[in-house]
Amino acid sequence: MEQKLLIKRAKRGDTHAFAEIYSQVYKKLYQHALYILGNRADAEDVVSETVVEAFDHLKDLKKDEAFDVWIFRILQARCNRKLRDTYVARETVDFEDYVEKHSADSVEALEELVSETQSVINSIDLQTALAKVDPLDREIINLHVVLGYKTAEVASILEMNENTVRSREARALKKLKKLMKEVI
Amino acid sequence: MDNRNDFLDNLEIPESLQPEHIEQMLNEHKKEKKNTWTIQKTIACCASVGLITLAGVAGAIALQSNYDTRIDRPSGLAARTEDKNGILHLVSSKKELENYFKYNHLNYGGDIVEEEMAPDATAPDASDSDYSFNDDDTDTSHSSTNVMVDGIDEGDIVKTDGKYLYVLRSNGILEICSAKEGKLEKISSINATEEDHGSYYAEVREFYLDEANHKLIVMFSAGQTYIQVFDITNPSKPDKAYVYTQSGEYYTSRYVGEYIYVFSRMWASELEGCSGIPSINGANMDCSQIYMSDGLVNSEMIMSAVKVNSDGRLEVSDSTSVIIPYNEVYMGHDNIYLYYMDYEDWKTCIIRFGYSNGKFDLTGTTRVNGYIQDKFAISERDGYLFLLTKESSNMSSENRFDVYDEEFKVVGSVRDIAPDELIYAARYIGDKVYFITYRQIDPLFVVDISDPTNPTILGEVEITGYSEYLHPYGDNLLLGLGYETVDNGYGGMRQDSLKLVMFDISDAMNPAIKDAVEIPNSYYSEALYDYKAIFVSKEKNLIGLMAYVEDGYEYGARYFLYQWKDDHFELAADYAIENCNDLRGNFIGDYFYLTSSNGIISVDILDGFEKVDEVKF
Repeated sequence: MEQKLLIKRAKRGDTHAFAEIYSQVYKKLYQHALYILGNRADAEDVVSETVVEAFDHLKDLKKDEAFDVWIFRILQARCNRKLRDTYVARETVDFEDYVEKHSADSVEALEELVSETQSVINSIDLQTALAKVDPLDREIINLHVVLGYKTAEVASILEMNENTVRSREARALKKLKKLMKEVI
Repeated sequence: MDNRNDFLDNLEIPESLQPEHIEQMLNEHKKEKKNTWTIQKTIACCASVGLITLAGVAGAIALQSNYDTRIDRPSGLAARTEDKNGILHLVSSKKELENYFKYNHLNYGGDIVEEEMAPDATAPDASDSDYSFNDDDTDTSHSSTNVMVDGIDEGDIVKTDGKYLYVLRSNGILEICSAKEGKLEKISSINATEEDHGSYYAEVREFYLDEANHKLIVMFSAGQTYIQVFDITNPSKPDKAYVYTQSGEYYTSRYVGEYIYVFSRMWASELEGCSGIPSINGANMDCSQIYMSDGLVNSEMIMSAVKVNSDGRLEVSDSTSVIIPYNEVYMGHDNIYLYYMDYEDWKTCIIRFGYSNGKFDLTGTTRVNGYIQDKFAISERDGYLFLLTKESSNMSSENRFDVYDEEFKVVGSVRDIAPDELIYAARYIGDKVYFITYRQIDPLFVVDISDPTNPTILGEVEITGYSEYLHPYGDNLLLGLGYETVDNGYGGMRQDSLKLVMFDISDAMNPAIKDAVEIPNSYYSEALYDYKAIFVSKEKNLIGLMAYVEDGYEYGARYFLYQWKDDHFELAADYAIENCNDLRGNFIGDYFYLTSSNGIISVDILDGFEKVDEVKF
């Protein structure tokens, strides 16, 4: 069925129509959340929160064709909150300890992700290099290169200027290339 | 693309996130909501006093929990001055900032952004003054950049002073061409970014023209934000003069009086790398100039007031920095408003700074329900803030118009405007605000705001399609640019060609449609979302914009010029264009100049819009 019609129905509260739109994007949402948060349980939470929010606020969606961008923004905000909650919880935790633990989790999750993304980026070296790139640039690369969003869409999701996204990506890719040489 | 899908297919996704589970979950979610609603309704019917008490308790609980989350922060961040809404507080020490970013961003392997030293400001060479602005009787009346607020200049990629056209090309080269009665001549070019910016790609964004002092003021980013002044007393020999730098990527700016207010943004990851302390002309800002907000933010907005002296010297009057999520900027005649959507509770946070005489003064913050849907939906006048917002909850939504006083107390409102519709365009003109909402048809609403405490809907008029942008056309007319819509065969509407509408607003109680015209075979125009890309001149009776057209198998872009004659739009001319990006229309005297990144053409307005001349860059 045409996506616009589905959105229209979903706006009226049709959960089946919503689930159908969701089915076209949920893998990307989960992958991206996993990529930002670095652990499966959090990514799962964040995606289901995002879904409820999106369903409740679907009427705010102005341009039906921009559904992907819109839901990704909500996801981004939920991810940020997740990170912040962790930050509040950390008050009672020894900082160094936490960072160490968290980094270990992240590296593990990243490694898992690497094996899953082999068909796209089939080089461990590249992933190692990618880990050294600025986190924002990594997000750009993930959305654009891995998930296949257009630069304009990436810019909307991250609420950045399109030129900025382009130049940041170009710069990051240049840096990646350099890092790759070092790794090899 | 196939590769991507493969990899996503192989990704192991939790059972709970599969679409069928989600559908089930949403069904339950819907039921829950319905139940809550029924219970509330029952209570309301049988015991209204009870409801008030309950609401009071609920409010107290909400406040309490709000408070709890706010005090629950690392001890290093405890002592500070807080504004009453808790949106912002001043950074107390460098250490606090360091801690904040240490805690706030769990990024492994983050990249430290190399700070670049600002190049030394160099005095301009004494310019050869053999060139003089000769005053003959050529008509040098001219157009200027289409801005949001009258009297507050904005940068753009093309400017004119009535003698020259200054065109910033997409490659960063600024071309200066003389334009006398349609005759075009390339005079000189400026490369604003010729210096080596290391690994940074220099991006020239826009510029200002200081006509009185013969200066071009170029805004660009190259690892940080630059303001570069060029002396054009002799336009054939532009001279590089002063430079100013501040951290972050150029975002936007305004030019009011002698001051350029420049806004730049640093991203979270950069903040972490350099402890969040921005630099101005290479020197670190003082912590007492930095405000931060609670919670996890992704950027820092740095704003400075830079005085442009008559000799082109740039003098920093004041700088401040605010660590907040990605925000928009609205600048009225009295205040700067930074606002952003907090997706957690779907509220808009607003931060207000006074800016008189180039000094920033944080005068208040607030959180309002809903969000601001259009850049033109916010305005200020006489100490009042006017906001058109949309608030939605539980599958329903409402548009509303609110007037806030200086304390951010609501003093006047219009509620429940066009429920479930979206605001597509808005414009404040004098003591009225005009706005367009849309679902199936496009009503234009007129709200009288002459008494801010009592805003009133005066009238409305409906038309098919919708407008995305509104522009006053003289005192009695209002131009709308948007789309026509047609039935899509599924019982809904589909967007058709671009459309111009002229509303008659002479009688606010009874606004009317004077005329509407579809731009033939068009499907998109940059002018829909970039107001600087539309040319509107009542003086020359001209409306110009570029549009992509599709005619059978022919695709392309054309520039359309319309005139308003006898209460109707009349297509005056249209031109096929090769480079459809960065198009701008301007007039000087009786000639119209269409500029792109590739060149300029001139046409004679009085002589059937015939092409007079052309230059290629």
